[in-house]
Amino acid sequence: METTNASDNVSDSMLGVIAPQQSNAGDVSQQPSVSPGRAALRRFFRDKRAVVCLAIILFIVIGSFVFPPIYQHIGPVNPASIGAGKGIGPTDYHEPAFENLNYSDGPSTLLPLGPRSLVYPLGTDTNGRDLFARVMAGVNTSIIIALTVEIFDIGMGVLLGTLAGFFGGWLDTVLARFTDIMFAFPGLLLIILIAASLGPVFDSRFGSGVGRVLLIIFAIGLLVWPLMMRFVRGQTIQLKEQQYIEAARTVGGTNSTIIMRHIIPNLASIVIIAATLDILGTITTEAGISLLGVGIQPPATSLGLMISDTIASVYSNWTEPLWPAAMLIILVIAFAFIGDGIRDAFDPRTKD
Amino acid sequence: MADKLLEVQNLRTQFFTRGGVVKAVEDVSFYLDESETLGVVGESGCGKSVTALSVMRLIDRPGKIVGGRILFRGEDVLEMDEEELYELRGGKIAMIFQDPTTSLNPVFTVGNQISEAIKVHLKLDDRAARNRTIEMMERVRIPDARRRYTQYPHEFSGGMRQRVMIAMALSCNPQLLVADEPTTALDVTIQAQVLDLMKALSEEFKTATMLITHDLGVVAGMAQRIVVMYAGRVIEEAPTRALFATPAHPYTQALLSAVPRSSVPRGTRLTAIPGQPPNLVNLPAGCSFAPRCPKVQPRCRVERPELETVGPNQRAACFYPY
Repeated sequence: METTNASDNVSDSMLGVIAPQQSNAGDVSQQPSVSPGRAALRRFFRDKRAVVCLAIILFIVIGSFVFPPIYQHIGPVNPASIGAGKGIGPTDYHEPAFENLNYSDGPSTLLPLGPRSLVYPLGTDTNGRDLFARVMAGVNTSIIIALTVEIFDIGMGVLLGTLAGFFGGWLDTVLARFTDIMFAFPGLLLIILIAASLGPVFDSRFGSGVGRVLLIIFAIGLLVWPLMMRFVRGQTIQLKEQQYIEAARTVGGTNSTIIMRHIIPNLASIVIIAATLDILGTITTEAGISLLGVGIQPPATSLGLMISDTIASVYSNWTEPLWPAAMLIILVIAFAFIGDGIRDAFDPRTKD
Repeated sequence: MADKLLEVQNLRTQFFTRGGVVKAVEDVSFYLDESETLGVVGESGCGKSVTALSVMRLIDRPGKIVGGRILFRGEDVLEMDEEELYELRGGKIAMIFQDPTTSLNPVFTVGNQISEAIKVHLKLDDRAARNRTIEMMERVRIPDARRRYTQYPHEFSGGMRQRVMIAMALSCNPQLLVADEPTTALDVTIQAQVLDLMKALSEEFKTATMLITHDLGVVAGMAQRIVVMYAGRVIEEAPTRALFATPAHPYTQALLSAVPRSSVPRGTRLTAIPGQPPNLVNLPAGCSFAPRCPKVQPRCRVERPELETVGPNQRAACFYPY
């Protein structure tokens, strides 16, 4: 391939020397061809607001995985309560789920609701735990949940949506009725129901930390995929009528090649747009149910749980609930702008 | 007479919809010789395209081929299994569609799409398929084919896309090319170029062509024989010259007189056929054209005329031809 391309260039430039006016005529289309996906990517990166938001999201998301292991090894040893012998090292101190810092009972302790410093840039919470570490852990939980839900959402939505849209028939009818039922449920209520009733089961089976995360992924995932399936199904039905599908049949294309080659690649834009907006919904839903107490359970944390935990101390230290709330707002706004940018990138007409 | 390449006998295709059974193709019979061009003419909804799709067995639910035989080189297409059909489609029968704007997948390069079929049917490797593709693109006179190979469909004009479709269709040396209104979506000058190209290539490749159109001007220059369809039936079949000189069926006569001519004086109103084509769910008894026919007789309304020989190689379904 490489060598033929090189020889193409040579012959092109030789033609240019012999017949310059001809190459002039073709100049307009001389720039290299770009695939629709690449063109959309290019348009996306021209959208400054979306790119800034993407950078913020990437910083926060990657940071939530990378910073804690580093961060936990810096800082002083907590002298513990007055008179107590053994100090608590920075690793434990910055561990978001560390439970043994139970100092909230008196003002005499040094660290609870302690002042901000270089080591504790956001201060500490009622239990004396580092707020910055906890916010990072909360983001981490939220992002893990959001991404896993999205993988599940896209997988189920694309698989069932293409099958239902392409083949129709009883499968389509069954799925359509099922999604109707799902849409008829008040979503948040259903998630709360699932989380509350299955919570203990998952806790005992996977341990309370992982169990709850899995449960929330399961509950939200169950709720979001019908919408994705609807989108994909609708788009598939539309694509199915395109002539290139018919043309593919006339050259002997089988159903599987048609789905893999002609349907799924053309679904990319709608799936990516829907997924970006779903991430946003998942993050807020997770925050919502954790806020209500049926989601992530302490000592693990998520942004929603942190807001709920810290709201009690809003009169003594108003910055305590502010940080998780601000982080949630930043994530939501950034994802919303990225979603807008992606939509505009895939469909340039919406912008004009 | 030479071997018949394609012989369609008493084909009946119906669509089972909620509104009733649509008899899209009723009792249609025609044939194609090797490397012959047959024009299939008729207005919208007369069953031209359904006939073409039936020949390739591409009728999907709710449609169904309910009767008849389709013999391709003596083999009945209706009795082929899936394997044989995949062989047939693309390999032996290829198809060109009406709308070049949607006939190419926007996410793959043009070269990729042409070579895909080549790889499947001619069992060539990537490099050979690429060379064959570029050769085909050159043969349909796409300038600068090597560069165009790596371009995407949106970088091609309508006429160029139709050339791509022709290249794709002919790339596997099919014996029959079904062209379903190949030039309807193109403007007139491009239309002429594409038709010339198709004519030249079908002679070069010795491919028989089934040219479906509603444009009599298109078939006049291309086809050796013409089949005229109305309301799902063949109502006249004749060599091109005879059809234009002495149309037997009143519908054919009406169609020909509806063709705009530059010779008529200015200000003359264009002739039209009064009325609408009949509803294919509920066809009138007798001749389907009777309600619109200028020469209608009482007999036409109760009895259906069969195709009968009315002249040399000319057959028409009318009690009172000429």
